[in-house]
Amino acid sequence: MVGVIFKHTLRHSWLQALYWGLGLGLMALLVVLVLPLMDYNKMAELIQNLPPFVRAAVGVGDDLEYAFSTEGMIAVGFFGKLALIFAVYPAVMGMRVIANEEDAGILDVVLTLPVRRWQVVLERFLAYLATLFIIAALVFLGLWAGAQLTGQALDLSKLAVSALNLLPTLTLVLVFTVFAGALFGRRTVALTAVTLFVVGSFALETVGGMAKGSAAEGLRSLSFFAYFDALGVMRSGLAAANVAVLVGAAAALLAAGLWAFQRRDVGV
Amino acid sequence: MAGEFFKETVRRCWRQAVYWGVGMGLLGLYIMVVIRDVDMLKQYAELMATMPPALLQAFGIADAAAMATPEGFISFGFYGYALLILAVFAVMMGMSVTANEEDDGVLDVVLSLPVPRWRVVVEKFLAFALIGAAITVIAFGGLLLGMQMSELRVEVGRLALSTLNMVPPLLLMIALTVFCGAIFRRRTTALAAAAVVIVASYFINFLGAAAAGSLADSLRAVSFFAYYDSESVMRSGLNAGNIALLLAATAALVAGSVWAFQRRDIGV
Amino acid sequence: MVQSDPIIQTENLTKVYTSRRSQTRALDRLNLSVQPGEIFGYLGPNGAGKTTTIRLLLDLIRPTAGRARIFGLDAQAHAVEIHRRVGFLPGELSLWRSLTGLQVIRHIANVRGMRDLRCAHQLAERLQLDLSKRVRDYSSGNRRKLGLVIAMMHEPELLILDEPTNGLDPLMQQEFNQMMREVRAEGRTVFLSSHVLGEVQAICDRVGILREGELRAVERVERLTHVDFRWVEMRFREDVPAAWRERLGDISGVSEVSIDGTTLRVRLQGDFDPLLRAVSGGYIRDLRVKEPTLEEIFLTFYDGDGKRAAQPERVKELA
Repeated sequence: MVGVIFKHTLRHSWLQALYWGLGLGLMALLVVLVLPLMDYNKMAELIQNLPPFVRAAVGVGDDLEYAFSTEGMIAVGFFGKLALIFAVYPAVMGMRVIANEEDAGILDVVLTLPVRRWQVVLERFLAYLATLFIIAALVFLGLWAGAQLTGQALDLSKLAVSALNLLPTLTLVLVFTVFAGALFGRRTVALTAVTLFVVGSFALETVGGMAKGSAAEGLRSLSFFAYFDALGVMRSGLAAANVAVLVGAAAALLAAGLWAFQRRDVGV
Repeated sequence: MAGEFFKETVRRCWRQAVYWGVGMGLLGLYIMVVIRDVDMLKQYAELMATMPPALLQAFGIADAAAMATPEGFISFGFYGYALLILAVFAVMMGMSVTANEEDDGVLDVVLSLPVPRWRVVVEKFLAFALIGAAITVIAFGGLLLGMQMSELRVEVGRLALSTLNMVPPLLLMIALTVFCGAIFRRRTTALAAAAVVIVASYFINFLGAAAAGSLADSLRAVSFFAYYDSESVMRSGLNAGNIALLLAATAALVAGSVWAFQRRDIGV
Repeated sequence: MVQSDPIIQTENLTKVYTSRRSQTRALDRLNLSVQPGEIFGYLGPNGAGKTTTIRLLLDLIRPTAGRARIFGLDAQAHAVEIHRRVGFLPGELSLWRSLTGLQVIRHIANVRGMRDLRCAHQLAERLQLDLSKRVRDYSSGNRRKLGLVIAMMHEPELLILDEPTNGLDPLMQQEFNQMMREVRAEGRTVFLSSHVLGEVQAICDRVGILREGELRAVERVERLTHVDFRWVEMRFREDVPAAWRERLGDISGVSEVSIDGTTLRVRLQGDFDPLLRAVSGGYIRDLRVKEPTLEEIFLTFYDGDGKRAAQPERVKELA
């Protein structure tokens, strides 16, 4: 029956999403609470004298004035600095769509039920996709609570858009993990592929950002983190092109994953 | 037979060391190759070449200037993040000491053999410690290889010390995960606990560093990332106090794991 | 049997699992002793506490109360020494899936300090197990065979086997039974749990029956199979009169009378004579007497609220 797997998956994962969301929301809250303690001017001055690559490594880029505003600091310090940590949740959940259950032999039971394979994968994926909204909402809630507690005049719509900006990136990681599970029968292989994808992208983005004007900067566009651009989104809202790239890549990978999984042997 | 678990673990997992080592090594190599293209470093290197080293010493090099060196670049672009990436490895390996096998039921067979439980924990921990150290060695190889391909001169001794500096926190993260596995019977609980502690440590360290003089700064002392401090190691060598502290915490966690694991029921 | 120091002895062995929601008494004051050189069958339905007992004996879990001794040694304090002399096959066998059968055997032999793998190879050959395959590629029956090889390859003094023939085909079950008899002939001891009564009947010397964490009875197998009732089936030339049902039911020792055309089937306890006299008006073409199966005895022990089963003094005397 259509939607049963979706509901079942959601029922068994929303609580975990809540825990993850609370953890990340708590971090958001702490960042906002700490912000008033910082002397931005002094930091900006200090950082101005540092080599450009160090600035890039810290994540502040060239627009120092905006980077050292309260919103800029949230973008750099929270969304930017913790990007790698955000990526863990969709990877963990994506492994549950196919890989974990195939390895445990549970998929044999599930796939003998009267449902199509692609339906199992798609409904589960959609359920985990829905939990990403829980994460984004709780992150926003943490930022909002921090703003209320400290009385800082923060543009809530910008914070909301920044939280929303997590979704395309996290969706891509989720889809990539599902794709890896769909492609490889072995859990460890899928996990390795996802780790490589996330860590490799992170390395390309980090080094590319630091090495302005070099070939590495060009390679940066291969990293999905490059389209996350926390500081840019906080400053000027969602970039349609970036979102399109991430969503387009996610859709293509999902289609490829469904296709691959439909064709291959399961659990051998 | 003494050492059998150690040997078997190494035998089974040495490939992991190679994969992770090569991955980290590639990242190091990539950074070294990129340095060549970073204009600012190039200019700085030319300036260095025209000046007698004694003169530079006499003037004293400001921190900013020290950072504008290939060493500074590597410190930010590689060592700054490498530990966060290795945290994934540490947790995966730490989980393999008892948690994974307990969850799979394999531990029932292992613990019915004539070996005390503590030996399983200690030997496997030591094996993963060795594998972790091997990864840092291979990564160091990647950096050296990159240096051969780049014209810029980087002080090998500093690189070696910075690489060595990754080992104690890496061991600590493995020991922490082992400890979580020894305390909790459920694999997911152990994994979540280890991940929370590591992410929270990373976060506290980052928050404390950003808000100097605040409560967050004093809380930094509880984060093991604070004792990693890759930039100062690159600048002024290993900090014996930090290393001793990390190793002592590692030893305490392994001892705690043995104690906890010795006392509890297995796999119920 | 000459009584000597028991190989396994438990004293009020109790295990209570406590969770946030409930407390489960998985094993309640178990007093059991297994003698050297015997094959002891540990019978009970799923969830009776068989695996809990075995895991307590092997110090995988710790008792809430009471204690267990194996070879006269405390199961907890001398676990390593005991494990050296014990071979164990878990009920749900999990092994490293990426290793081949031979790699698993080598690793376990190394831990045991064994150099000579001849015995392992012989066992594998006997069980027709290909050791070059990876564990993940084994069928569940073959995985079980590998478990048996691991449990037996060091020729332990005591074999503790949890549902050993689960998943083995009938031919292999025969082979397994033969192997157990050989083990016994060598003076070694076997403690096996099962809910397959035929298996227990075929090889065990004594049987302990466990239900809901309590040991209900310990009996010699032949005594169990020679309990004082049997099934009597008679075929008559003409249809059996329906009135006989009531008439036969009144005879002491006769119960469960069933009539199917010319066939009469009753459960008879005690002497034959009253039954034969009662049916003497009919012409008997065929008469068969069947001993009750262990299953039926088993069900008798478990009957209703376990009336027959609750015989603590009997347990004490026999254990």
